[in-house]
Amino acid sequence: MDFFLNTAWVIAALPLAVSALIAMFAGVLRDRAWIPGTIGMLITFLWSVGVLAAVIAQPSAAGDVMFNTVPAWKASFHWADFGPYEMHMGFQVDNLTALMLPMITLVSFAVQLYSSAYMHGDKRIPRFYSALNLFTMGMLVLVLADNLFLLLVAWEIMGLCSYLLIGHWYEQAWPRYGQIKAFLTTRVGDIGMMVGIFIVFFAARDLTWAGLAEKVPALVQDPAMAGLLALGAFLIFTGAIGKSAQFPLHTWLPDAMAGPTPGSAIIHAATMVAAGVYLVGRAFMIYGNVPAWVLAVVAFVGAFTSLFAASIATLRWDIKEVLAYSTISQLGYMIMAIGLGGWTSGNFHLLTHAFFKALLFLAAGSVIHAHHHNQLLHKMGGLRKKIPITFWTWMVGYAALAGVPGFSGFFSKDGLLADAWVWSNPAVPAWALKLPFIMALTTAFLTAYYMTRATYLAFFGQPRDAELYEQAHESPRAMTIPLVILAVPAALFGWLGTPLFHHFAPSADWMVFIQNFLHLPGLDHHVDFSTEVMITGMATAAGLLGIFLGWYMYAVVRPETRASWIARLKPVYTLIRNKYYVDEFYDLVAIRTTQAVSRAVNWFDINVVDGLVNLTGTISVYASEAAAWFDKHVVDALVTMWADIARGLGAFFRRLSTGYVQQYMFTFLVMLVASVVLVQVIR
Amino acid sequence: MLSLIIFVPLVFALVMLFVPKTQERLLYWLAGIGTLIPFALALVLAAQWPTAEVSTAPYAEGMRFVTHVPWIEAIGVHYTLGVDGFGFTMILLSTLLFPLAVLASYKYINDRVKDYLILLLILATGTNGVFATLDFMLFYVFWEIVLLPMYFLIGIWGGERREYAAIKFFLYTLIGSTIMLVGAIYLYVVTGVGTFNLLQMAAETTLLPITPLTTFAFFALLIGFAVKVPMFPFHTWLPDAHVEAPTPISMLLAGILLKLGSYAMVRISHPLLPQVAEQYANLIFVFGVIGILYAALAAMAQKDFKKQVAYSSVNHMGFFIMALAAASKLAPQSPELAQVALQGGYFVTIAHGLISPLFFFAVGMFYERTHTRDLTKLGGMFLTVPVISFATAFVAFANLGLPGLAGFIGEFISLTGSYPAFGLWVLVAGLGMVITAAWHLVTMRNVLLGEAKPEYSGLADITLKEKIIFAPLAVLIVFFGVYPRPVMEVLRSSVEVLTQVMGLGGM
Repeated sequence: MDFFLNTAWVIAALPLAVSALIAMFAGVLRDRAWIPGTIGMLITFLWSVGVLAAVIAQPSAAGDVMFNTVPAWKASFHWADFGPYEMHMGFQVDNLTALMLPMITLVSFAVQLYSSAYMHGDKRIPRFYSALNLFTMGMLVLVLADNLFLLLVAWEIMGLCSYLLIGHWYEQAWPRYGQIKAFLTTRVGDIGMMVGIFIVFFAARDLTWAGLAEKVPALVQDPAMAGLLALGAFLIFTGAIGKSAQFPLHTWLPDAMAGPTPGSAIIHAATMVAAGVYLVGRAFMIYGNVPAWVLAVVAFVGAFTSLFAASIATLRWDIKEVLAYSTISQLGYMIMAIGLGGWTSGNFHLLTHAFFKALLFLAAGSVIHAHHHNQLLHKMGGLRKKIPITFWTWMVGYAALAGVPGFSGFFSKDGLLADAWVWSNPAVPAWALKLPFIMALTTAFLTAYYMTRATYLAFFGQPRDAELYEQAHESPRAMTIPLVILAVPAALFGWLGTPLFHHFAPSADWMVFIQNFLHLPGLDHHVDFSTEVMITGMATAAGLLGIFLGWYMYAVVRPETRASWIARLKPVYTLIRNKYYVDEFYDLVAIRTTQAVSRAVNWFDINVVDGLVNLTGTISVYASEAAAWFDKHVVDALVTMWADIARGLGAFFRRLSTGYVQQYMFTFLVMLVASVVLVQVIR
Repeated sequence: MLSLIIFVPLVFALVMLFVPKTQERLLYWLAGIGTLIPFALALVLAAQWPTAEVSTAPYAEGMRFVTHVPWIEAIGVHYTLGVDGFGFTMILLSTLLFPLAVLASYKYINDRVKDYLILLLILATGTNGVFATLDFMLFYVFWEIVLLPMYFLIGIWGGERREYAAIKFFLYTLIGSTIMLVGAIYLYVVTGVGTFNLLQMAAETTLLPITPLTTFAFFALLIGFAVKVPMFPFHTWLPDAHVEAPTPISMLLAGILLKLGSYAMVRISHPLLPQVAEQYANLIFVFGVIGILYAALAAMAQKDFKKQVAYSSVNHMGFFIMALAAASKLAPQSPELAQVALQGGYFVTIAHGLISPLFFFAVGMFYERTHTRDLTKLGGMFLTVPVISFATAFVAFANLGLPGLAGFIGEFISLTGSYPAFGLWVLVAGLGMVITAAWHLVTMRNVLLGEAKPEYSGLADITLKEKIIFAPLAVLIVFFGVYPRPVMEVLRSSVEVLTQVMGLGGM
């Protein structure tokens, strides 16, 4: 086991090698690019499981889960110097990383296997697989990184790969739009994050996690430094806002749908978007120590985003778009949880969500595949009989996301609702303390509603487009097997955190490993049993209510009645249907304004800055001609020589193109001589 | 050795004078060898660098590979050569780029080949000389030697408006260097040590009080160099020069000629008058940061591919200006952070020296095939010429500062060092980075992506010659992006010394 731990770098190196291999032999591999990709990722997955097992088996790693000053394994080398500061670059594996690795690699493996069938016949399969593996490598490096700088590098590599994946079909306009939007929107957040890193570096002169965990608690004793670090922490959080698609930088994620569906699955589940959540959790030694307003901001941004995106999801007609807004909403949950101090439940939800959302995306892809690339819900219906495997695996993902008791999402959602209930933050007034809980509970209700709606429209009822329905067919095995693989953790993973297992095996290594996550020093909110039951009851009730309403609205109420209700709520409907006009706002404020300013700057550059230059040139020509005239006609013949020089200069300025270089050399010589003479005279 | 690096191209240029101009292949061979020998010599010096003797003589303290011979004794001019990290990295860059430029000219320049190559070799002598000399008069001579061949190279082999561009370039830089000369002569006179040696002058000038005259001298020097860098608002000659210059000349212009300005700042203006530099650090920062934002916006509005890339040079050199201002401001109080800024800023210039020639070369590859640089006309290149398009995408991402490539390291470190000096104002530079990313992406979309255009079908993809030019620079961009430490090791002591000087000056 320790072998895997000590060679944990292979987990990052292997996908990189596979990516490079596929890129190099693209011409040979063609449609077969999935073979090295899938095999490589399977090995990486097994390796990750080995690492996880090694970490679990290692009692020394059982200590501090959150601040990981002594990770189970670490290796670094002297990489560069920032001025006099040595920068070490390296990997580390601690409890959190060990949990992330199998999740990422399993999802990536499932996606790659799935793509072998889904992407069949595509022109650019090697490119897709190369980007997919590079992408996975980026996320693996991100969770393995032992410092903030390497995390940023991996972060941006993922940005590049998402750009490549979204723009896979770059002949079409929407992918080209979506890829630029994704890269730029996250870049806006990244700039804030970079400045945040500068602040952290300025304060601590260190960027390694271990170093920060050691130094930050001491630094925040000084109020000025604490304020500065709070600003830094906030700015770093803007990076997470961009990457994890939180309000107001969420708009790129729905447009990331323009890429192939497996690409969406990996962007939305295991990698890119999870990075922001992971960052806030990983940098908790900063967030947990700086003034409390930062975490309050984190919590409210997350809570608001979850509600905001869930409301948009209720009115989407594209099955992938429903899932995209659902992703934004669930990411809001995670961000909120970490902001509330629910470090464990936030990361737990990150893991469960990765499984069930990857499952849902792949299942949606299977639906789309079965339905001749139709993505619109109102053309689907009744598909459960046609595509049973897809249907049943989708239902597992649906149950997990909607919070049906017993499925993974139920447990993780329960955990973060409990954290919201007991939240206390000195920077937040008492009346606002329960707001995140209310928002999260409403989100739970809306989530259940929109998922029921989408599920009903796709799989139940009568087919709405008979022709498409008749031609629908179950996807090939290469697509259904990954669905089944992912359905297992999507259903069961949540049970890990429950007391049930604790009673069976209280002293097993892996139970100790889990318990370490559940009892974090300083964040151990104690929720008594009756409150726990009450919260679970409320969450379950909200979920069931949402399911009922969704079923009622689409299975019972007739479409005409629905339309009359919509007509009555027209303003609200229009607002939500248009996604609160955030895109339009950005188009106006960010894009058009920038373009206008850029044109104005260009005008200024040509007419004012360059205009001044040209004016100076023109004036000197006239001035020298005037001087020449003055010399010739006014000054005595004794100084004709000087006039010649002046005229020469004038000619030089005016007609230099003819190449009278001798004159220039002469001027130069004169100046040199003059200066020598000058110097001699002065001395 | 340094003398050889400087004068071998000149010797070859003289030899080529006697070669008949019809012997184009022979001329190209000669030019190639004449630029490769300095590169080989520079590599030899690089191998010797760690063990080379560091001079302790007052005229070349901290320098390596020193040569010191009297030249014009009456006014204290010496033929003093020597390099520290700042100069040596530039010599390596310059000697690398010249052979590539010669190769890029092959079969591209078909008119008056002999004159062209001779001028190119003279240019090499000039630039290498600037980077190696430690005496102001010698520096000035080389500085002016650079000017002439460049003028002809743009003016004769350029595009449609070549004459305007060439005169503009010439006059702009000539006026700049004249102002610079005035400043330097004033300092020479006022110190009274009777030498033009930069280090010995600095020993005196750093002690001068800040008076209107020293301030004038500082800005005279600074503006002379700022024109070359080019720093906003002295940049307008650059887009014109680039657009008109033939591709190999654009590569050299962006890769090397601009670095003359940045190098001169760390060699002359800032070491000589650090006290004034510190006094006006905020002002210089403002110009640097405006340059970053302004050039990014201006680039976005361009319709001409090459002009866009030219503005991005102004943008990137703005990072150097910003970091230099930060370093001079921080040096007295916190020299460690000043070192971060200075090192980052200088790294920007090195990275830009690798990336921008490649970008201009990429633009040139499209221009050679399609005969247009109009961004609205190009399109669908990924499906037409995939390898060239891949190369272009690579260099565009390098230019917009993608981590893992050299450009990012410099920008990141220079901003890290600038933050302590200017606080959240660095966000303005960050905004510039976003806009830079934006126009790169839009340009890539317009030129590379989309359906293949019928009028460009059947274009030849990358040739062997182009691969040979592309490979070394691309490899270096990746290498220094992943492992920048070698560059940092070479720069380290120079950065330390300069921050020390600047720190003392600000006291």
